[in-house]
Amino acid sequence: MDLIPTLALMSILLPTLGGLLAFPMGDRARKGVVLAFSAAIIFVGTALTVLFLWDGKDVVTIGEDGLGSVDAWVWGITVLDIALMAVLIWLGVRCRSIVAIVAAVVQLVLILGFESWKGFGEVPEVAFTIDRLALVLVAVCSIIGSLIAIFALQYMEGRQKKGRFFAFVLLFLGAMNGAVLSNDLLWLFFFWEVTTLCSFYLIFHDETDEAKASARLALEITLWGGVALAVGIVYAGWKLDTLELDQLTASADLAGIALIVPAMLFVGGMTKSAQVPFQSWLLGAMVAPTPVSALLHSSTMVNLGVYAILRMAPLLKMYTPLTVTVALLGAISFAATAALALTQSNVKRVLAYSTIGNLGLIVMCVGINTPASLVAAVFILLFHAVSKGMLFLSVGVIDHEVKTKDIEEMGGMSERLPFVTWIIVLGSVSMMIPPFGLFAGKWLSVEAATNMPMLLLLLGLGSAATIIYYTKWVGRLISRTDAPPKAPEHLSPYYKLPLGAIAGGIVLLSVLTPFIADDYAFQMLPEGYASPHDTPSTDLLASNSYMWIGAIFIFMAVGLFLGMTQLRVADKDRRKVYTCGEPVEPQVAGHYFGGEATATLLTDLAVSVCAGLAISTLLLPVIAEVV
Amino acid sequence: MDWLWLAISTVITVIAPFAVAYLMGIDRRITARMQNRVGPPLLQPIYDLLKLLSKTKMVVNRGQLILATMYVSMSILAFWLFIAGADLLIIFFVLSAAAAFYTLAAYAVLSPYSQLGATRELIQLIAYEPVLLLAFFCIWLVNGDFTSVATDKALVLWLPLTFAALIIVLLVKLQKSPYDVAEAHTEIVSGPEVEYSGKFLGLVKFGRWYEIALMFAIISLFFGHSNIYVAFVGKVLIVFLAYFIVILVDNSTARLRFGQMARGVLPYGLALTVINALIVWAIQQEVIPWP
Repeated sequence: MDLIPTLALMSILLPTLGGLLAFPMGDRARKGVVLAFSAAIIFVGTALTVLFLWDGKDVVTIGEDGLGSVDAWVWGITVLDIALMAVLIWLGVRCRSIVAIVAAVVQLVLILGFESWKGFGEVPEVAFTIDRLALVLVAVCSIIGSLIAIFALQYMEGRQKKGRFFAFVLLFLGAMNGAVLSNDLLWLFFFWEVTTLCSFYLIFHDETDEAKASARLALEITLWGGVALAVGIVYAGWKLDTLELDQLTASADLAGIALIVPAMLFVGGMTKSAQVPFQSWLLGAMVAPTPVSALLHSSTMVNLGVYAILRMAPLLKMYTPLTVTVALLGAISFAATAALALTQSNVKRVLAYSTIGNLGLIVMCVGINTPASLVAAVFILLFHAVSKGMLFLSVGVIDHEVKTKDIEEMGGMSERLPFVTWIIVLGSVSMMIPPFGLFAGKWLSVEAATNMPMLLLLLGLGSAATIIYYTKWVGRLISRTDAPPKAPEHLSPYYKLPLGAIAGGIVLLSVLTPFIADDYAFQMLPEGYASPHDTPSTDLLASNSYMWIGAIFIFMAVGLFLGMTQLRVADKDRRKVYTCGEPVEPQVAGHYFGGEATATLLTDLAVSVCAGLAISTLLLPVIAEVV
Repeated sequence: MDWLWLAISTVITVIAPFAVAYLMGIDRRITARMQNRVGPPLLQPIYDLLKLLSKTKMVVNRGQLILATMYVSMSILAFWLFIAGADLLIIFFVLSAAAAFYTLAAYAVLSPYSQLGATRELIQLIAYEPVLLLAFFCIWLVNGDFTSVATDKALVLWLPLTFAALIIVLLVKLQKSPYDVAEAHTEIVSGPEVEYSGKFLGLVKFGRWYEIALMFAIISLFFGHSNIYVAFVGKVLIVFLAYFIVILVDNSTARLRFGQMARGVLPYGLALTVINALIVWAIQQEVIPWP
């Protein structure tokens, strides 16, 4: 039996099964089920990655023969899809949201109408494909997602409706894997809408007024994104006569109104990835329990949007005004959210803005659309997911142990929660400082942005702002008077294990950066893209491999080693800080660049500019047709 | 890159801070003359460093010192990368890493002056980093790549406005007025550095010299020639020119408030580099006729 297709199907079915099992169980049994299934999903994700790399194929497809009973799949998904639409309409009714109801009804009409035109139950030639891009997302989702589920076991202790919570967490992982593996666009659409459903219930979970309002907002925005997706898919099936992603992206040339397919999928991806102007639902989603934020921001929801956009890269490329608009949208999302993050003192909001910004960077890279920029996009996707998952979980620990999300109240955390503080330091450093992986992505994207120099301005501002808000937060965490250390914290292994595992993963992945570049990322480009080796920095990243990145690692390690070992401080050497003769140490608050007033202004500005650009991506195909 | 070049670049990296110290000695002499004083010996910065190293150890906490070591390590790395011919973009990122560690070290002590200084340091960062990135882009525009290896072109003729923008960045890095808001010794008792003493202060100063050495190295990129001797003399002259302008500005201006500082660096720096980039682009595209 061929293992890779089996493992791929397992990565969809296992979490789904786990979710269904976890739902009705009692607390103890559920803990066992979630642990067992998470471990199994991690195993499947790891095994799939290892086998795929070992195999060395570019793409593994699962067609009719690989699915067992193909009819069961086709009809199962068709029936479930219609049932899902019904559930979504019901959710709209429950939220009393006309906007959501209309969106869900439009989806239902589009999909039903299309299916009956085409004939129900058509068997796709290739149902699932596993290529390098899909594998990155499956690995991130399976491994990081499961670690988050394990973390949540402790975090959700003592909360209500845990059955529903874990059911949707696990289901979410299955749906995410399903969406990125699907080759049939209707299947992709089905899994896509399952993630909408899961995210709704996870945001809704605490059932406070705020949670309900945020869940409703998320539902409305992502459902309309789903409509965009459905329009794109139906158009592709209707006019371009293909519903299969691999055939669609290999289309020789798309011109005129047909460009509506990538444009619609792009806008759908924008809503999922919470890009400006659709960012508000992700910020609202902050009310959910922290593991949900970790899940949404790192391993599932938002990645799905940029995944779809990345898949559309070869199609977007066919009309230059489209790519330029996409690049601008991404770059503005990046710079604006980085500036917005400066104004926030709620750390979850800071992290949320940082997520939107990094995804904006990915969108920008798709817009630049050169081989190097697409590689940069994948780098950013991978390393951002890993680091951001870890940061959110750490914030969850602080929230749980110290009951605060405010940066200003996190002073001296390095004494109270040293383990978590060091995890956050590593996470933040990996988000902004070389040699950690995200740096490789940023480096490549700056290099690629020389093709569209106006982006460099936004990139420069955004990356400086990124350094500021992370440094400000970490600075607050580590500031201390050096009173004698208190008793170290006792953290549950459910906290320490996932955090430690992801931290180890970050360092390992960063050390492997040149390998990932040369042996993996450079080979995942769609057809029609040259080797990225024509860009100088890609060569420096890969073929001369360890030269530069190795030098940075060595200097960091030496600096850290000397600092840790050579700087012995005896008690007699210690002094109090200089306070100009004042008896107490005055506290200095962080600088928030005008706070909420600036934030409102900036949001309005960014949303109006980006809304204009997003609308123009939809108008451009029409213009292309007319001109 | 061969072993010989590795050795040479390492030697240059070892010598560089002392060259900077010597330049700073000259700076103090010139400044003194401008203020009708005699001024200290030329090697005074090195004497100062040696004296600092011999002082009694006084420490607030160890975290600060570890982060300061990381800062020094990153500064040395940034300079070495330049000399070894790395991509200017890596240097850019390593330089921001150095700045981040420097600021974190300042945040690590709960001193009001240090914390204020750290915040100001961050505001400086947003003021000069985009300018630096665009300046690198301008260099790319003329040279065609991002490597820091010298070219034959006299970049200063192509990029006079970028050169001016870099001088603003240099003022910030040298902690000179009007941009010395973070250190501001008469106001917040040298801000981020207030809680270092003795050899640790020496260590941080040493790291700062490397940062300055890097800035001078970048400025030296602005003159190149096919004849190595002409190139060398030109590079030395252009570094002296830049430093002289810095001293002149330092002595004829007063410190700005930090808000003014951000407004005074970012827009002007960006405008200068962008205009320069546009002109170069226009010449390259033959929009503007050029002989």
